[in-house]
Amino acid sequence: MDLFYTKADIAFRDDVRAFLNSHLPQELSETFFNFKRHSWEQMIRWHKILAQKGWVAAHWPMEHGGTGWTPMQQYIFDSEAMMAGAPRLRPFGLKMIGPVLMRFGTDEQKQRFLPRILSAEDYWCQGFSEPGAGSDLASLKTRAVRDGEDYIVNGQKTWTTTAQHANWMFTLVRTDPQAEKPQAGISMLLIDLNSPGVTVRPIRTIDGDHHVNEVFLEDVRVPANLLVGEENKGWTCAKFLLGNERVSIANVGQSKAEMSLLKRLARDRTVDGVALIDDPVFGAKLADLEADFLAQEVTNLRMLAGIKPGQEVGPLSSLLKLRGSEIQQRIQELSMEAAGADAAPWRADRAAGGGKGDGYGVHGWLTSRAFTIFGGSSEVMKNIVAKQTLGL
Amino acid sequence: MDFTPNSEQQMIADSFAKVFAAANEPRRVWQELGELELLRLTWPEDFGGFGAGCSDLVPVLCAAGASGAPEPLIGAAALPGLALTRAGTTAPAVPDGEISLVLAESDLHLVDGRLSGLVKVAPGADVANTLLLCLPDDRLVALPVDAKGLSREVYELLDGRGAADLHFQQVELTQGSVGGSTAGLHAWLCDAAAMAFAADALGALCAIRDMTQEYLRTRKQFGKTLCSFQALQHAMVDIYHDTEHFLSLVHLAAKTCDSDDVAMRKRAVSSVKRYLGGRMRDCIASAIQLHGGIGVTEEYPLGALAKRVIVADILNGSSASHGARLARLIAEETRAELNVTGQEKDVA
Repeated sequence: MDLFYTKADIAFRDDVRAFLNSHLPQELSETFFNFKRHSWEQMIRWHKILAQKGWVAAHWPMEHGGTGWTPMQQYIFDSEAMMAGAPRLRPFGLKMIGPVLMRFGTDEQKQRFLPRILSAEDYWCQGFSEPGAGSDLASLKTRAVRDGEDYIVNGQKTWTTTAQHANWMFTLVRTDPQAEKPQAGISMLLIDLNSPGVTVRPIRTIDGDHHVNEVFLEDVRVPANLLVGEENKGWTCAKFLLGNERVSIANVGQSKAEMSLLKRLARDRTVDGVALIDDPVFGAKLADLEADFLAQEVTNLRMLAGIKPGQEVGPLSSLLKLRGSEIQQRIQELSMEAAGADAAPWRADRAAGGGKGDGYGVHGWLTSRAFTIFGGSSEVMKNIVAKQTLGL
Repeated sequence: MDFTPNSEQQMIADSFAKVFAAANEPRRVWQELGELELLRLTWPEDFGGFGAGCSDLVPVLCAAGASGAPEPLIGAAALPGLALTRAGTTAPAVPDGEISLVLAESDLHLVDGRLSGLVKVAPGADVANTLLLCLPDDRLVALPVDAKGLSREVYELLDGRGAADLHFQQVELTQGSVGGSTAGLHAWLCDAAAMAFAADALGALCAIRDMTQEYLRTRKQFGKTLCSFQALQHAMVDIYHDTEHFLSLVHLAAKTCDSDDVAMRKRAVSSVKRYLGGRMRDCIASAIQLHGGIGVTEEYPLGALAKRVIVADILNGSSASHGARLARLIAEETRAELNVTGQEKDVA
């Protein structure tokens, strides 16, 4: 999108490229260009390299150790890093709880947690969904009862991504079951996952992987100073957080990188003597995906230009989440078609991160089913847009 | 990346909208726009124009599309100006009066200084005294419509805008009426024309979107407003979202037409055309569906707006041919990437 870049943007991009050239370990970029997935350890390694440079929290203000970059610079950095084959940093600390603490947290919470997000000493997960509260998040039942200086928490969370790696969980709990509206009785607590009474159990997903977990909370004591914002006002924090999450799910930079992999795969694969990329039927699908991606990329830039520091993202964020998750699914779908029969074997070493063969594309297709479900299912997103943006 | 028009662009677009809104008799609108110097927006300053580019044009054409104005703004004002600006000193001399740009395709042959063949469906060519023909070899030709051997069949398009078929029988070109060649001019004008009609369609789509939203808010069935039904809400959200994405693409296409990045221009314009023939076609169909019976009457204004979108869809290359062009472009670029990097990490 050079057309939209100012001279300063282009100078910035060149700086970013130079940094990526010298600091992105070859082992990490090779993983990507060999059509494999980055491991958790690789992701953490990259996180720490960025932290050392002061670039790990691209969208944080400088006072909290962020870069102070404009939204455009953040996008440039993200897309350049993705195109260079860098691992995608997980959003839970950097994009989700970090900004919530800056906005709603106490000084003590900010001082305690923000530096540890930057350094990767802490890793966070999100305790929102419950077995009975999926799309209808406000119906959550996990109970927190005040007991002196603590809350005692009982309940069960589910679909908790990366809870197996995390040591902290930002959690929505019910503090007032009598509140008139279900949203009004909810609070946000920060829970140390090493506390007695916390049990994490894996859930295998349809792609055969371990992304998500169930988290059981039995008489877990949480000091009251780990309440974020006011008691019973947790819904406000959650809405703020979900707005950010939805932008993050759109993952425009990552889609751009995955599009380029898909095109290479289609270029290098020959079917009946014709490169797949020249096949008119496949080409038409690729062209439509390209058009949708281009529209999304520009819409994303429009949204970024509209964000004022510290404010919530505008109505375009819902659109980006909806279309962005769809685009990622279609990239995987075409990758599955491009990989062809090579993707059918499902051998054990697939767990080492895939590659062009085993499960390539199929795995992504299966994984990406969740993208239109988590962070607000597409149908819930449309309900929200209909009500809030269109006033229907 | 804020595509909100700047104050100058907005002022100009507002002037157009004001004239359109006050319209009673169509030819008067055209005169008024001329008197306000608004028809020379894209013309070179040497011709008394403002030298506006494609991006400046988008808000104006949106206003035209939204108002349903039948005036031949694209063929007889915007495109001739863009063509003359682009051709610069290689452009032929053009007389005063109404000038329409006509994109000649391979059906028109220039042999020994004589033009023969046919140009079908030239929008805006109905009003011209002078045709500014762009030949496939990137030269411009200025030709009076009463030239010997040239016959013109004038008609209305499905959306009420004027157009003409032009029959050339050994039409002799006088010296000075043929300009020099400007590399890439024909291809550029084809893309600029597609972009211009798309910008007009964007205005129509925004009007359709607002109209449909308002209809859902007010129309009652089963004792409640239509907007209380979830299936209808979701259909409306799809229209809203697709229109926003289309807006992004139209502005991108305009910006690329103003730039020298040919590959990006083709990619953006073909994406726009793909949207017109796909998602936007679905949008207007859905808007008619959401209106129910009233949506299929000729009297209700939705239909006229929808027809404008169809015109943008079917003129200037089919959705299929633009899909194919986009696919070829992707294939070429992905191969070029291989050549540049020599050996790629993934090929090892």
